[in-house]
Formats: sequence, C-alpha cells, structure tokens
Amino acid sequence: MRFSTSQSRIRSIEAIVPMISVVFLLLVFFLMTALLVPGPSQDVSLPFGRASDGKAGTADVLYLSSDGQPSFGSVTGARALSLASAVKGPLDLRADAAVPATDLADLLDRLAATGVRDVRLITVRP
Amino acid sequence: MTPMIDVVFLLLFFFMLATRVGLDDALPLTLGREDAAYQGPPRLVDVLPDGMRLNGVDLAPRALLLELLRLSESGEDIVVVRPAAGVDLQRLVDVLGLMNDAGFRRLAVVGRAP
Repeated sequence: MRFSTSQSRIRSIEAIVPMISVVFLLLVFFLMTALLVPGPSQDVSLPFGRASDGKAGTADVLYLSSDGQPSFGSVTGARALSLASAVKGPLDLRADAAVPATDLADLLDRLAATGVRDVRLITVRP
Repeated sequence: MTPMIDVVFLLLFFFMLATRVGLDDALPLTLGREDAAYQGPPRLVDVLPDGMRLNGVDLAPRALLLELLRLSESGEDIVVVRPAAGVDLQRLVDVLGLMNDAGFRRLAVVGRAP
C-alpha cells in the first residue's frame, strides 16, 4: 500500500514538470524582453504613423503632454528641457497626438538652441 | 516544490505586466539650422488643418510630393515643414510620414520661417 502511494506521488510530480518547463521558458522570455523604463508622469497617447527608418529603442525619452508640458523622468517644465539637452546620443520624443504642432515646433527650436542634434519622434503603428 | 512554482508565477506575471508591448516607430527629425547645410531651391511645406502648401502654393498631397521630388536631388536634401496654428501633432505626423515614405530623410520642423 505504502509503495503504491509514493509511486503515485512521484507520478503527480512528474505530471507538472512540463508545465514548470513552459513557465520557466516564458519567464526567461519576458525577463529578456522587458524594458523597465519609467513611464510619463502624465498620460501621453502617441500619434499613429509609420516610419521606414526603424524602431524605437532604449534611448532617453522626453515626453510632451497634450497641454504642451514637457517632462523628463519625474521632472517637468523648463528643467526637463535642460536635463534632456544634457543627454548624449539620440533623444526620443514621445509627444501626445493632440498637442498643437506649433508647440512641438517651439520645443524643437528650444532643444536645438541648447545643442541637441539627434531627436526622433516616436509614433505607434496603426 | 509548490512555493517555488508560486514565486515563478509571480515573477512571470510581473514581467508580463511590466513589459511594454506594441510596435513603436521612430521618425528622425533634423535640428540645428545653423549646422545643417541647406542646399538647392527652397522647399518649405506649410501644413494647414485641411491642406498643404509648398512655397506658398496650395497643392494636393500627391502633386506636392511630385513637386518636392522635382525640387530636390536626393533624399538627403532638407525639407522644412512649418505647421500652422490649429494643426495637431497627428496631422503633422501624417504629413511627415508621407514625405518619409517618399524618401525624404531629413525633415526639419520649424515654428517660424527660418
């Protein structure tokens, strides 16, 4: 009797081994693909659009909310711009689709004045 | 065994929820008017809420692209894009996307006439 119960317990453990394998596989997949970056302090809904020049990467991100307020990390306003202009390498601009385009143009002018050269506008594929 | 599976599931859910899914594209913009060497005839595209102008002339999108191709030698030529008041970013991105598709790689968005 005792022999048969230990046998069935081993069987029940063996039965969930494939599930554990799959769960580990998924875990490793999400561990490798996860980009843990802080989101914007305000909601930003990106404009729809396609660009043939490539994918959004892991560059530093400047957010522009729908009321035209820039934010960089947890900092908003003019200080966000000065922090963003200190970034080496490309700067990703995630701006709200509803922001007036003239606000974006002003922001780009101000960034250019502080010496930023490499800005990419992030869009989401429709 | 069971506590380990619990922890693994917890980690799995955490990374599943923390991962940003979705395909984002990056549209490069040209900044720094002083450095960028502008060459050739003027290529100023005005984006209006319900139309487009090339060098002050109202044109349909297709005609505008053809005229832009005529005014430029390669995709490396800078095109200056100036949104009017009342144009939102979605409209501007639609226009920039059109020009990006047509092969123009250096798009400069300006607020006032350069």
